[in-house]
Amino acid sequence: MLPPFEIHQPVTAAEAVALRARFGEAGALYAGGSELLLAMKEGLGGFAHLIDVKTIAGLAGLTLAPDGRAVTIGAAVTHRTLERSPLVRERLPLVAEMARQVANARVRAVGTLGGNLCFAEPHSDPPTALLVHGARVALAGASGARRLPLADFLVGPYESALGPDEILTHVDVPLPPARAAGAYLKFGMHERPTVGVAVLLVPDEHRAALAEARVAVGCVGPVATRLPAVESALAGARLADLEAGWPDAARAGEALDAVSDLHGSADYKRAMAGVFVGRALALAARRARS
Amino acid sequence: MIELRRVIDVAAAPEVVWRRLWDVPALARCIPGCEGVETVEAERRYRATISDRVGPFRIAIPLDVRVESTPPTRLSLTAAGRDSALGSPVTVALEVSLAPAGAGGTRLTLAGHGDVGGKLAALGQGVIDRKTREILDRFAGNLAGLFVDGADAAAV
Repeated sequence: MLPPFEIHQPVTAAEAVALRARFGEAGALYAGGSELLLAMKEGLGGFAHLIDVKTIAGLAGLTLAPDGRAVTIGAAVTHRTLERSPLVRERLPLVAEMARQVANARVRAVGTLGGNLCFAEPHSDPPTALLVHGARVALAGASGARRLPLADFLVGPYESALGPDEILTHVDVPLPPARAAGAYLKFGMHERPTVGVAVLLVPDEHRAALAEARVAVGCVGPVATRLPAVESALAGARLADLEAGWPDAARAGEALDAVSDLHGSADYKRAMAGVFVGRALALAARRARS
Repeated sequence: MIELRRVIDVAAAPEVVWRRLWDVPALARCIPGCEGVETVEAERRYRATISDRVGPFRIAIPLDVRVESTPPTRLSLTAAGRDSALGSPVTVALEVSLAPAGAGGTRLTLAGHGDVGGKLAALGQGVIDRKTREILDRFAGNLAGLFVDGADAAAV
């Protein structure tokens, strides 16, 4: 049963920040509630105050940045909105593809991107897809605003770099380079994924070989992570070869700091990461050639 | 299950080390997040609470601690309890043995394991395992630090 709590609905980021400072550990930020309320029903947290960020003006915004080089996603934008937005589908198709696969329709309808990133549940999809875009998060706090790369925001399971008096206001996702094509694939036997793989391939001007490859794996370790060794091993690879299957893919998961849990043993997860890196590369290569 | 094995060489005689191990408040300070230590029966039963944070969640585990000892060579400790939020079982077992080593020193051997079950483990086995390992490792490190000060070295 959900324990009683008081809900607060600030209309500015500054008000939310002040509420965080006022309630300390007795307060929690509340967006979609798809993670927080479940945890509270289980008896975790015992928060007496929930600070609803959905009432903050501007947090549901989804716009092309003024310089036209990034999409700015408000922290309270739902997965469903990302999945359906023409802007996201056209300019960040990999993000739309990922959002379509988040949990189930009920979670996508209420769950938000900001809530997902701040809750930092390791078995989740968004961080993986955002990492290959080089996304940056924007935070507002008592001592001002700051921005940092998503990779630095993701600290560990259920832990982010969000300070005790900060809120996440939006995420800036740079548009992929011209001709880039991506793929997001996930696999799991429970509601949450065992492995999620995002690949973004940037072909040369002839669409024959790779100018750049970005590969990220989520759910396997404590946080989603890029695979720099795999990315450099892919340099110059031919798209036709990748489409047929990259022989080194099977070893792509070997270096991962895999965690054994209900979703599988560390060895199993590393093996599955390799399988899905291979499949995602083949799919993205096919898309990049067409 | 998280296992701990650690050997600590101390520049103090086993009798000195043994006495120091029974300084319960000092020993409790070696355990990360340990508070509210109560003696139920001196040298046999204690109560203590260990708490830690996992992201926004604070987990507190009141433990019933039982000690068996063979002075000054062996200390066997078992702690069991349930976390206060989910009621999941937590157990820790630790065997400490002392043997003379080198020039009047002592070799402390720690062998033990920690186990978390129930819903707490189901919700985040990966996280819980790492936290348990972190706590056991920090405890072993702090314990080694307990014997580095000048007072004990001078007592050799």
